[in-house]
Amino acid sequence: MEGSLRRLSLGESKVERSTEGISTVKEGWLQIAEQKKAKQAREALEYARGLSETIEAKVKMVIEARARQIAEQLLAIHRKQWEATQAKSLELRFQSLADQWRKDTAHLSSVTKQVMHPSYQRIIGLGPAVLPILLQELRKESGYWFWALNAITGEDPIRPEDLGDVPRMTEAWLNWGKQRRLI
Amino acid sequence: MSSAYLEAIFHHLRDDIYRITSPRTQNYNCIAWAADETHRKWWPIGAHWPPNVPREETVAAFILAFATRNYELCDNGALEKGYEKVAIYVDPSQTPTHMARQLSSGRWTSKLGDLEDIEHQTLQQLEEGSYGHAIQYLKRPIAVDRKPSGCLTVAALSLFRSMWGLRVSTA
Repeated sequence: MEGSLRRLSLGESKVERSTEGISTVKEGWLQIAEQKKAKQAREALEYARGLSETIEAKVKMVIEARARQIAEQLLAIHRKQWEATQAKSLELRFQSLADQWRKDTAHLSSVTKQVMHPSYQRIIGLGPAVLPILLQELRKESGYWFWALNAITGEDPIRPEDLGDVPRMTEAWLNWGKQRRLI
Repeated sequence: MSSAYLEAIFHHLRDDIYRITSPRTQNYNCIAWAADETHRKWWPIGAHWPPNVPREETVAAFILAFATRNYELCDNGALEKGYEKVAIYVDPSQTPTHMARQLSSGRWTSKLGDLEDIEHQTLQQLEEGSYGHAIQYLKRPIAVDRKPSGCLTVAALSLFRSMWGLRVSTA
């Protein structure tokens, strides 16, 4: 107790004065050490913040890229589902019209009366989207679809001498469809 | 063999005997069947039609088409020894709708659009409804070569020109 008082008294011999008051040398050292520690802490904090920001930016980038990827996959799935629904809907619409047409005209020999039937005309009205279905139907020999194919495409791949010859007319249109990758 | 669905379309079928004589096919139609062909459809529009015959849906054009097969006009569909006959049906607007061919028995054979061939006792069995009425008869000697002549004879052309006022090129 006595020794520490002496050291204190020795230490008291050197004093510093500042605007904030009087401090001993030891107090000055402690202050410097604290300042160093505080500076190191600030630097460490800044480093950590910088590191954190870098990691955060990288993580953010990775998450955004992944999110974009997932969104694109979802969109592709949705698009495929929509296209499949549309195709199914077109197929159903076609089959419904074709059934009605066959029911009403199968007994007719007049090509004109067959193709002028409202259901046949509505099939033509389905436009180019129905071409793959019509070509598939030709393979099934389900109807005289040549007129519709001609009306939709404006093309006529049938040789004049083959008119009325259903197998040859079918072959001509199927070749036409294959060349255009429709079947 | 009878068929409810055929009788639903042709209400007079059940008035007399008939039978189905072929499976369904879309490879030929009644006009081709009347002309004795089974490998293609005949029709003035969108199907086979004899060369140099007008591609129009008139009785005159049908007569000319069958003139290329040596048929000539006749008055009725009664069985006539040494001849075979065909009959042309027309709807109320006089547009041809169907043709039937007479068999040696006197009965008739018809291809019903894309449906079956049938043998029927009378022409009236297919009348009314979609086919209208049989109004024109044609005949040719049975001995005549059944192969198509490929063109109209000058005599036939003169005859039909005078009858129907047609302008047909012989070139």
